[in-house]
Amino acid sequence: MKALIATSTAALALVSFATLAHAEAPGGCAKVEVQNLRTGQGPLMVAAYTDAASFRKTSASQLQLAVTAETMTVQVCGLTGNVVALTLYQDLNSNGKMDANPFGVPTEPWGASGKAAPMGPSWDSAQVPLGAETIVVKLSR
Amino acid sequence: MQRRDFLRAFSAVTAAASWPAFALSPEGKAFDDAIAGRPWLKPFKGVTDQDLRCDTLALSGKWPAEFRGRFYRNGPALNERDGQRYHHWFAGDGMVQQFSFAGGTKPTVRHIGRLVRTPKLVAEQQAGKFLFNAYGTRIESDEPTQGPDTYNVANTNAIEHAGKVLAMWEGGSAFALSPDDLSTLGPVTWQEGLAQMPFSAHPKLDAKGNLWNFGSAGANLVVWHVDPTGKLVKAQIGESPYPGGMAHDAAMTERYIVLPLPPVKLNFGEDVAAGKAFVFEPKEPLRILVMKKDDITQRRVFELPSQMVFHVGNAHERADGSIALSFVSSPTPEFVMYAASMLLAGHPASFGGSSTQFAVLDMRSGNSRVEGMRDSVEFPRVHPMRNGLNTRYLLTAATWAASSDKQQWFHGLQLRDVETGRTQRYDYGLGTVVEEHIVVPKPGARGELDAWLLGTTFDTVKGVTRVNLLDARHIADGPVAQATLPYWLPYGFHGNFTAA
Repeated sequence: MKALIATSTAALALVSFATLAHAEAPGGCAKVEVQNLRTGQGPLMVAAYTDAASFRKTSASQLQLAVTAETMTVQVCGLTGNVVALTLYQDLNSNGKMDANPFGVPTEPWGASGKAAPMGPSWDSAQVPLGAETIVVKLSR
Repeated sequence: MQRRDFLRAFSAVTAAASWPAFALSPEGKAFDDAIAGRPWLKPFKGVTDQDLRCDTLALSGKWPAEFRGRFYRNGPALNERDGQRYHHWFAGDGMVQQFSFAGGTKPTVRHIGRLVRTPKLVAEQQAGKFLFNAYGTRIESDEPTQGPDTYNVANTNAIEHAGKVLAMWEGGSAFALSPDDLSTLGPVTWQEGLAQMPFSAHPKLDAKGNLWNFGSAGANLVVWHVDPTGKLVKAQIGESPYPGGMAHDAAMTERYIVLPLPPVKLNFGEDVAAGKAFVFEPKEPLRILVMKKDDITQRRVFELPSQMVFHVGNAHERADGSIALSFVSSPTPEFVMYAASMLLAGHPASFGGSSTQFAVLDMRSGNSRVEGMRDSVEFPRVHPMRNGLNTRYLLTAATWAASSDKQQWFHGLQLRDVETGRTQRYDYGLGTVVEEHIVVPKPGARGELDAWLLGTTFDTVKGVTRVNLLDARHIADGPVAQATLPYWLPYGFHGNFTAA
């Protein structure tokens, strides 16, 4: 059992989630349904990327939202182009980063758009069309 | 079977572009059809979600009054769900078997077999189908994954330590079970922040009850030291000298961890049927990574000729500073790459080709030498109080049948005297498949042969599993006592005994 989750998952933790501004941002929006949230615990963090070069490095848009229901629908705006890749985690202990064990495996619930990626998301696994359709992301349990 | 025959048998198989076992069908019906006329393959069928229990096994021979305790075994057990069947023997959900020996003047033997309630098993029971990739088997699914414990099957070994049974796999946490009824307590996180870290399936207990283990994933290594009360003393993080390589079993000495790293990599999530599940690099050596237990950054990597290793026997430090290591190896990893898939599909394949090896690793020069024995064995075990010390006797399951088409699996036991090179054997006979046997010290005794040998066998004629007890001093006499289940158990891997 090797190369379980790329150590680059730690990059998720490096993303700054400082801004709450989302609906006001220019550009296109993605409608995202997030499942498996844990109510009464820390906030949901969302980062959106619009190309492979910036994936998990520089997000085009990011959100921090209080978790009020097990399933929530959120708008991620400020997006350009025809595709988007989303990475999400629930910051259970509200420390502003996605906690991971020393091997880089997340220890807080995480998820990504697109195809299931047990070893961690890549641009190829996570990219989905940016359009009218709701993007569904199940967080890990 | 001689090594040459083993390789020849495989060359016919590997020549085919696609994997023949699955050209038929991977499903359960195909397995049932395939094993017709080959009853020894039946235990690869596996179990359903039903737990197993028998309060009074049928006893024969003379069970010693002083033989009291619990014998645990673990192995892949649930191989099929919703008509879908795994593609590799190592994939199935783990079922821990517990045999409880009451001892006394009216001895009884009780058996409980329970699937480990991993998050994977629970989720798949609820869904009524497989949801997660397994060893050598790709499962199409959109289920999210937290980390390795999402698909951890806890199926490789079981040991009772500090009042809990640890059911262990290679890629994720150990799962704790209650010794009373084998109910699953959950994954073991030894310390906050260390969730989802691999705790491999072959921990070694020292004479004081300290548990030493390692885990590996990708380029990462962890070495665990757990004290006799079950508390973590230290988890050291390091790097593998062969990133992504399989790391299955390690020996320990007084001061060192000795970890063989054979040149084969598993691509978890890829399917054997697509030919991408394993990468064998025959030009790479067998690396033996030797790390100081108290500081794993102090290490040396020995390079031995390319070969496959699953299991070590034991290791100890010699007076000249070198390390003596016994292990079992085969020339190539063809068993894990091919045979283990054939067997789960109901097609005969040999376990042969692996033999006892003795290596001496010179810690000063970095030189090594290795001597291979002419035998065909697996599942090496030594006296459990002598891990890391010089041991004279090495116990293995063994085969020495003349013709490979008569016997496809181990039919006997071998006790090798490492000092004289002599072996003693017991042949259970061709109607019996022999699983791992372990060494159980007699109460109050310390001599290596003041011990019983304990292990399971499958009676291919009656279709039942049996527990056997032999006297280590008289192995050739065969079992002094046997306990027979009214059912068979899936073939398992490894186990351990806790005296009561």
